[in-house]
Amino acid sequence: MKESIDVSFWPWIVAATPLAAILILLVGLRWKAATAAPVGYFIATIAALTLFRASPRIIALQTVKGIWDAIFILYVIVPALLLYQVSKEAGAFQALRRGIEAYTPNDLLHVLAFGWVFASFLQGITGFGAPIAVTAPLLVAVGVVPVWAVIIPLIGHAWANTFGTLAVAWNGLQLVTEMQSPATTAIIAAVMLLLANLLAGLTIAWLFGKGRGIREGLPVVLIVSAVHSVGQLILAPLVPELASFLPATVAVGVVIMLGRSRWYRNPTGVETSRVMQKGELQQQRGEDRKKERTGGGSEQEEMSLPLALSPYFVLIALIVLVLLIPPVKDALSAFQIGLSFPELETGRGVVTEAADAYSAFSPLTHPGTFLLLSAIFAFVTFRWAGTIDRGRMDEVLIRTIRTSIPSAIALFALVPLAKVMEGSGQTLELALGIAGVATGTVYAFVAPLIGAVGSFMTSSNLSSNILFGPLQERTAAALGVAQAAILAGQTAGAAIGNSIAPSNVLLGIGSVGLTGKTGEVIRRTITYMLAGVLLAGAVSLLYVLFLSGGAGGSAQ
Amino acid sequence: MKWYKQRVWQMGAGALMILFGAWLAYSAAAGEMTNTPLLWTALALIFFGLLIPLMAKALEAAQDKGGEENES
Repeated sequence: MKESIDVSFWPWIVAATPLAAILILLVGLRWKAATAAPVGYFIATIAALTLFRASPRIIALQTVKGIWDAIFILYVIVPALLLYQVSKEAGAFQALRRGIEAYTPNDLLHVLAFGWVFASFLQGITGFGAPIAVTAPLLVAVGVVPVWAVIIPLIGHAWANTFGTLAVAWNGLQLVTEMQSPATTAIIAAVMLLLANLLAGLTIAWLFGKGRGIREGLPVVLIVSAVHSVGQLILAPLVPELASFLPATVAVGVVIMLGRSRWYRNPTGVETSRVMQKGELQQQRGEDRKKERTGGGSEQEEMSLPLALSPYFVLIALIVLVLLIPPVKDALSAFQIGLSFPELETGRGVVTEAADAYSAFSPLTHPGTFLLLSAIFAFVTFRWAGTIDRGRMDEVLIRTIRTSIPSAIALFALVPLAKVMEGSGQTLELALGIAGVATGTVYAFVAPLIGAVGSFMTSSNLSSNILFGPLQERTAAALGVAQAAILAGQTAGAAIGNSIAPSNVLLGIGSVGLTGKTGEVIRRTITYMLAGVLLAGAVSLLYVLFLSGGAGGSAQ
Repeated sequence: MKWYKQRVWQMGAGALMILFGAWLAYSAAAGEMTNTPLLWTALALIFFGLLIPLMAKALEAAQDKGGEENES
């Protein structure tokens, strides 16, 4: 994309309108995503055709790119929802809850273990929203209210975005910029993400039980946060590909051990938690205790914990086998499908480069395939164990499709909206507008916000880095601000911004069978996102002021 | 209620329309020569598919308003 256009006030306002409209409709007026997203798309399209002088061909091809990307987000949502519906139908979630409660009855630890530690582990190795789609149903299984079951992993996984998925977002940033000091940039980004990680643990504990939740959760938050953050700080400049995955894996072991520690071997002291289901959960627990005393139990309730967890073991085994063994990964990712697109240029000179295989899809290494195989495995195993009837499968499939449709429409509008804005120069206008009015120190502070805007629009740390990395690099050079702080701010802001990206939110609410809650999830998550971005901005600012020779000083 | 009167299946039809429109749009515009009539047909399909949830919402609002007026 061309990186300089004339920026002025009105085009900037118009470029901001589609995003503002979506936020107002979703968060302010509480519209459903399937109705709010098309409004944003139509505003962006009209602006593109008129003020930004994009041809109908550009609109059409950018829309096709967006729909192509949306299909593969849906390819995660639908199998994740299928796995959820099959497990629910078979009674696996009750078995899971009982088994986990038998190990440790502490609800706060369950929430932190699944929503933060396990979500981060999954983000370390795979991406594409799989951490949300997998952990949200597990949180529902342990008694979390479905809306909170989506919010918690959105907050919990964000810190692991940059160096997660084997550092694909970090490597993307290096690819599109000429990074002067990759090690320094990686360390600054790791410091920013350290704060985001600690903030995530504390936020989840606070959401669970406010002050009491934080006091009770402090040992696990501090220990896990230290494992995550120190590991990432050490590994990020040396082996970025493992900087999230290794610490997150160690943290899974640590949290399992903490379950038997004196802090968490008893039930939580938080009497009423807003994130936990109340009547239904208590009723189920009462029934469990009654059955324990009388020794009764139906066929479904006899499912063991290993059987209930078996689809997730298969999922993790597939991910580890395929993504972490290079020869297997190379062999399976050789098969790719991608569309070719020509170069496009608007009347204002914004160029979108041609692509031979745009957003190539590797079906054999895609998380959607792993989830689909796990769902099939779940059905076959639960059927074999006699906990699900074959006749119920039709209903499970129809329920899965019904719940996926609103997410499909929302994604078919949201992702093309981002692509139309990108192809017509509206995204560039937005970023250049922010960069144009800022001084060096102010820019250092707002750089993470630009990254976050990019990831809000594209739902991807990598895409935000590709979209805005070169712009951030050029602005840092023009203003004489330390490049390392700005690029670190870009990628850390993009990681944190992912927590409110509508596509990720849709993925979460789709995977637990909810509809029409996108606005509520964003409204409740946005405070964490803003606090995380502010902290990242503060780190960037401190580095620029005290460690790099100040704004206007060294651009190193 | 019949299935085609349910909002979710109407949106499902919209999603299929969008997918078909995207396929037509790619066929019309990705090559060196642009097939303008096909391009506009494709865009019309995509726009109409995206309009379905908005039209359903407007219809629902109108029905709710009508219901309220009848009650009063």
